[in-house]
Amino acid sequence: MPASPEAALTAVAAIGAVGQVVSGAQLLARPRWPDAGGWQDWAVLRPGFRTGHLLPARFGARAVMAVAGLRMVGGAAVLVAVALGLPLAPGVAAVVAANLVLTIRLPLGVTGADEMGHVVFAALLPAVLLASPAVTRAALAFVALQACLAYAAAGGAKLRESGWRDGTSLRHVLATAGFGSARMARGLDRFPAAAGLLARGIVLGEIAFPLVLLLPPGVAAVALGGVAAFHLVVAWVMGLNLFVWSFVATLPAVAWLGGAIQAGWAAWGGA
Amino acid sequence: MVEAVVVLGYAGWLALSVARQIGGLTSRRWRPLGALRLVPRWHLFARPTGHDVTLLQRTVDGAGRGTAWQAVPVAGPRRGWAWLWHPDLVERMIVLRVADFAETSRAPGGDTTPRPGELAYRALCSRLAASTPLAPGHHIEVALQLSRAHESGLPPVTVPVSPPQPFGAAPGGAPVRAR
Repeated sequence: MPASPEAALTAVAAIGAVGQVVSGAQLLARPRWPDAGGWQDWAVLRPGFRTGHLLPARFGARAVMAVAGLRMVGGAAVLVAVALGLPLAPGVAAVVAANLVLTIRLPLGVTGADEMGHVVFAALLPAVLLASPAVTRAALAFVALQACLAYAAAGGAKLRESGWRDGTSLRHVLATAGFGSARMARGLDRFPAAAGLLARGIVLGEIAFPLVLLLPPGVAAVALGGVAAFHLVVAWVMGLNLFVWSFVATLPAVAWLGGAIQAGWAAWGGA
Repeated sequence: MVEAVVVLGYAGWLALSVARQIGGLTSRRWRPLGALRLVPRWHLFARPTGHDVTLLQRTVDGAGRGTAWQAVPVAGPRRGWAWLWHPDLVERMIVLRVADFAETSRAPGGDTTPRPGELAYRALCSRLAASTPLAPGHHIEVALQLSRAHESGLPPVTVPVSPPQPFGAAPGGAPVRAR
């Protein structure tokens, strides 16, 4: 459990920054996509949505790669700042600026991991700029509650789908080459009931996530460790690598808020 | 004073996030907020595409004779280190969005509201127009092949992508038609 709000904020920034470095580097590894005739050709995408006009009409692959580099350098600056005890603000500001531009310029192929990374860094920015205890606590509470909302809403959305209730959605995804695994698919074919149990377990776990705020600190730490392990397994099986960094980055904030709620209750009971 | 404003800002942001999950903020006025991705809808694979999607293309001449279907080269096979490093994930997600578009295009109704994946489909058309040299009077047709690599006994299914009208010609390129 983080010892202080400042420690929790530093942990959130450090874990999230690794994701920003990896995400920026992944964009740099595919420099042709934003080019004319590529997947993210600006001449095709810009007229497709209103916010496209916030960026210039000429925004080619070189400019996109420069902004992707800014995201990567910003993330690296946060990691260096954490290691050396320097201010986090320059690195966080660079990541937020890069993310705002890339969100508009590269609207295709965005995942929940990109969105959570974007939200977390945007929420950290006022806290690292103002260095005020009240704003730091508010930023942490926001990140923690956003994580609770994300898991609960995702669980609720899955609960409405019959494929998640009976396990067929999970079985079908795991049977694909793009997001599945031959070994997992064979296992679930052999034990079809396991797919239903696993799918319902995921749905219930996501919906129940906010309850972690009410658990005693030791139990909450074990539960949050389980959530981190879940993201690692998803990354391993489905190749969703950025979810690990952007969602696990929220967990120190959840741990801190849970601890603060417990401490508040204890103080209230003792008054 | 500044602190109070910032704290209120967080509260307002969280309230918007909650509203977005329960079906609020759907009017046109809120669309830019959604596009900035600061108030996401957290669905996280609630409706996953349970297929491997292969994009197919062929060239059709003026008399309607088509070449054999060929796979459009997209992301290669997923590597063992994708849990750590997966630059092709974006391309995989775009292809799934094209599949979303194909599915909603086949649905009855014919309304003109933007469909999921429409932008991805436009990008595909532009990409094909840029990469495929065409003789005069020829055009490209696009289809999807759906399969599951790790499920035995499931034959691949080829589905058309439609409609062709809004996307008759990619910007600055040769005409691309959806089949």
